[in-house]
Amino acid sequence: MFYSRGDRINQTSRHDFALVTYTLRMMPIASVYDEDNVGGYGSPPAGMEEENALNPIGANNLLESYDDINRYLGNVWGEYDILENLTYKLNISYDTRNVRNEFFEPHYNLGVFFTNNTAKLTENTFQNTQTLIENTLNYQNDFGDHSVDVLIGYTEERNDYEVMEAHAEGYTKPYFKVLDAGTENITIQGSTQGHNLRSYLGRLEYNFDDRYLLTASVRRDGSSRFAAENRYGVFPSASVGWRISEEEFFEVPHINNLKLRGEYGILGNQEIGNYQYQASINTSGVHYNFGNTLAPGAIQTELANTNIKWEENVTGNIGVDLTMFDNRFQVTAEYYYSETQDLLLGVPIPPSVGSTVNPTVNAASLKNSGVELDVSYSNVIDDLSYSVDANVATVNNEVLSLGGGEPIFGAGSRTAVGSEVGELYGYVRDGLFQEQSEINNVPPEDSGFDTNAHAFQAPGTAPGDIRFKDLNDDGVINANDRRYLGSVIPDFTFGFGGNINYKSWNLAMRFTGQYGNKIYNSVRQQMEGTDLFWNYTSRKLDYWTPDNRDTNMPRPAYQDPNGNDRMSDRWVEDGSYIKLKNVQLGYSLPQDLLERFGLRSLQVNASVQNVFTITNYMGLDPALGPTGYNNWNDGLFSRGIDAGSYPHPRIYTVGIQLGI
Amino acid sequence: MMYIRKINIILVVLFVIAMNGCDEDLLNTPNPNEPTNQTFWQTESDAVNAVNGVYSSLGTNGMFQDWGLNVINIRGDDTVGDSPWDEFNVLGDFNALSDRASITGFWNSLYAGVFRANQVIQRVPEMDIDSDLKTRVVGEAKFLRGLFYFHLVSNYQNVPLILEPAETEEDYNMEQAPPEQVWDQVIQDFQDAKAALPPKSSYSSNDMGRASWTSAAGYLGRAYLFREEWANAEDEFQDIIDSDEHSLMDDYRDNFTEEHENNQESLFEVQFSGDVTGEGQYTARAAQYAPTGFGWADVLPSRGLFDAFQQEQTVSGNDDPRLYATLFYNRPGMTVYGVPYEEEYGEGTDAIFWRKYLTDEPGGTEVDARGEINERLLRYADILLMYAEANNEQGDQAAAAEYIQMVRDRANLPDRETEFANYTQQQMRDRIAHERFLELAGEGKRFFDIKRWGWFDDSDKLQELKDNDAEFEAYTEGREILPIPQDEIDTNPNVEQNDAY
Repeated sequence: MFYSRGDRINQTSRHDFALVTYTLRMMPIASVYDEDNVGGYGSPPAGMEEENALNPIGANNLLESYDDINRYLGNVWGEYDILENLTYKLNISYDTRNVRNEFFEPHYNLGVFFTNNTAKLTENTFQNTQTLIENTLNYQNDFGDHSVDVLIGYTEERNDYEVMEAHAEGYTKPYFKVLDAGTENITIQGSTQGHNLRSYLGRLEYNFDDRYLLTASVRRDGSSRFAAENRYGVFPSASVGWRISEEEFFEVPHINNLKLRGEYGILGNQEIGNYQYQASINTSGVHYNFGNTLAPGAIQTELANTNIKWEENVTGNIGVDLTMFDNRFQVTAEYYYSETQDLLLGVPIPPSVGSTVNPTVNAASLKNSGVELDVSYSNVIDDLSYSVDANVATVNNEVLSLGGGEPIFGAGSRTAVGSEVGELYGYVRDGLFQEQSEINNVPPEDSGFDTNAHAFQAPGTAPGDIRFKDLNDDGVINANDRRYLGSVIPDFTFGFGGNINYKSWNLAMRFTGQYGNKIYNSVRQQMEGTDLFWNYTSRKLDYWTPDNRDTNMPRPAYQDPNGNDRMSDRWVEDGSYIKLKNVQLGYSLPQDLLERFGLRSLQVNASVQNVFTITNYMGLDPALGPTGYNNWNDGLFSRGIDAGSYPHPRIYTVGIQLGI
Repeated sequence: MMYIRKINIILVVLFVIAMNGCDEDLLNTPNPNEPTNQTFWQTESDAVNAVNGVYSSLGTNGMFQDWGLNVINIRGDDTVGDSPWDEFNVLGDFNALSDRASITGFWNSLYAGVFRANQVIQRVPEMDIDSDLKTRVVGEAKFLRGLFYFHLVSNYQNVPLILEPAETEEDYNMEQAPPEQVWDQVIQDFQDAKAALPPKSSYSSNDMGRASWTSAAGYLGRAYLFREEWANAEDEFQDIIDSDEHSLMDDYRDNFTEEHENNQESLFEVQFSGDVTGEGQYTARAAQYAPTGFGWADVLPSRGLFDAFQQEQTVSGNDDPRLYATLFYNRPGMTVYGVPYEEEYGEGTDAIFWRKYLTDEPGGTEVDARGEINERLLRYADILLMYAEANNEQGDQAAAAEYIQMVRDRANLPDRETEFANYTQQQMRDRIAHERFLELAGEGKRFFDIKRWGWFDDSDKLQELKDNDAEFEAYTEGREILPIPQDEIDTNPNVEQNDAY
């Protein structure tokens, strides 16, 4: 039995960008605090009300959001030996999680577009219950050098979700932050969902003399997320291992263990929303009113694909494990290949179809392959012991098929058959226009188009604007002049580190990094854009003027008539980096000193996380983390975008460990 | 303690067994929240709720709650985009490219509406329900589909014509239809709707705002004007005028208030109400059009509009009352949400802001973006002026003069019917253009008027537009048609971008 309870205070950013971006966008001359302003925090000063930025400190402090989390977990099992080697086991577990979120928005004025005149309270409760019953029958026996382990099983899993939201407004000061104190716009909403799984499984493990190892398994899984005819999938897998070092003929000095291994298998995936195969009628979101009286609405707003089935992930790998020099040196090397087939995905469909969501379909197949290598060495010399290790991994990705064959466009990216997922995609720059005579302000069909000048970009193009390459040479710069701008998948990722112990002292450090990927720096896109009212980076000061022509920084222009800020190679940067992720120094007090105080152990340590990063990336941190409210990275077609990613904080920790 | 734990374990075991059992239907889980397409479409309330769901698209963000409203307004010479968020401004500058929120939002919402209307038009006729109700519901859906395509073809010009709800992938990648074919369908839908729908006066207060036959006839006549089928247009407007279903409100301003929604002058409007939840609870117009200090002033009236109001005074020598109903401007006694104009904006300032469709409630503000005033899409004054136009184009300047003066009378402007009746056809066109400019400013009509009148191809008229609204300096040929959204181009191999993009 297990019960846990937690409270969590959430970072409360809002609107369309993360607080990181607003912190940069807010003009530095605005005051942080202002007693006379509603809410007590400053907003852009008089005359600059049009600045589209909010006071980030105010936003973070004024908006209150916290979670109460309660979790109960129960697990019981029983075993019965039917025969000497045959065991029946029943395992039952029950897990329920209750989350209550409270979000209070007081009155504030943090900027003209970030003003709240009505205090609001929203309470959300979310309950998720999972019950699991597992029945297994296990036979285990050894016949001489042969060892056999067979298992068959039947499992059922049931998941239920319930959500409820209550909202009220019209709170006055002093705030009583309970629903009862709200006076206007009181609403309540709730819904329930569930999904269930049923599985039949079998597994065989065979081991001969610890030299030959074989595991084979097959499972038949049924999911309520698919229509009856596609409900079940069958997923076999097998792995073999050969410990060469156990063979009698193997007499290579210094080698303690050498094992070759290989694996092949198919895994099923059904991680999509519930009821996706059913064409549901929307009865909650399409109401209207006549004469200010509610007119309940009900109509299908989302298309469904009734034929969806299990996604399959076919994986294979071969690897070698080697241990040498009295186990001091270890190497693990592996090549893997995986192919995802019938990837379940909401492929964008033409908006003219009129569905408000893209129906989930078995849309794509992808291939991933690569090599992973781990090496470590450790040694002890008198009072000194140390270990070092390093790892490197590569991944090659290719899209084998995709929906109806049309490329899918993400945020500044494109995914097409035969290329990588989420490649950065956009326009290519070709310097700045220096003279009006280089520019066409009318399209080629119109009179006045100058064939000696550059292709038509926009009616408002002027000297100091970026000249984009006319890749298809048709005299117009449009969406057809975009191309591949780089891969967001690193050539390789790596880590290395070590540990040194000398007498009572201990020093550990770890580096991580990646090489060869590109990042779409959308924060810089905002900070160098200079087409609207907010704070800009000082790099922008080098902008083009007739007297400052030797620059690649385009002219500042209200509303950006030339589209200088459009997705282009201008915003694509090298994302390679090495980061000292962690360094820790520890000291253990000597034993004789401890005994004097009656202690068993006392260790003092100090550590720093995210110590430094070596990179050419111009943003805050090339190791992109969550970007807050409007995270453009969907993990599939849009990735490698820095839209205000919260940088990894440097954390200093001092600790004492006491053993009594 | 141990004792309690044992009981807990037993309870959990019993509970889990009870919950799971050996459930035959474990994997058969119908959605517990909503009916499906198979179980729905049975009763009369299903049919009514379904068509309510079609109306609901009118209030979506992409349509008249926000983007669609701005698309049809800002490109006119009555309206200027002036926002730190340049989505508004690019519309006025004829530089809204294919990935803009407005371009994408309006298209997506119109087609979402078409998808919904098509469901009603396909499903409801097969239902076993009262035939009068059936006729009305299908008529409403046809009116709405006509309205959606009316906006699609008049804004984007080359659009796919989809008349059945998509079911499988084969239904996805529709080609663009020739604009004439889309117009034919618009006219057909409005004709069908006109024949099927009841008069406005027959609706009870709980149904006030549903499409009536005059809604359909008004839009049908307007569609005929786009096609320059003057006699057909005249017939439709004549039907409305003869019906006694509509008349002008005494006070012009009553057309833009919460209090006088669905009034006798209104032929069709988008319903907003804070009292009910849904897609169209609030309109964004209030916050976006409200003056600095009380809203975001993203959208302003043009200087040319203000100047046009100066041409004539009322018979009692005052400003045209429609000017005061339409704009905040510096005149003696002008207040803005209760605050004296000069106190708010400084002495001697000549800033102008929209007042139409705003509450202007003393002490109030619109920054919460909670406008509840219905958007009047078609009103009787427009019908009278369109009737005048249809007559003028057929050579009947006298009839035109009479109906123009009717609209002028409400504004207390001098009686110039006799003078107008002697105008040439061209003079009368200019007069109608002027009267429509003032009467319908900021109501999403001006841009389509100047476009169908060919002003973009007439250098004198284009100069007049530039004088009214400097945004027209950025106009280049073909940009009066919106681009096809990039999302459509990217996903649908059978569509082509419009020429000017």
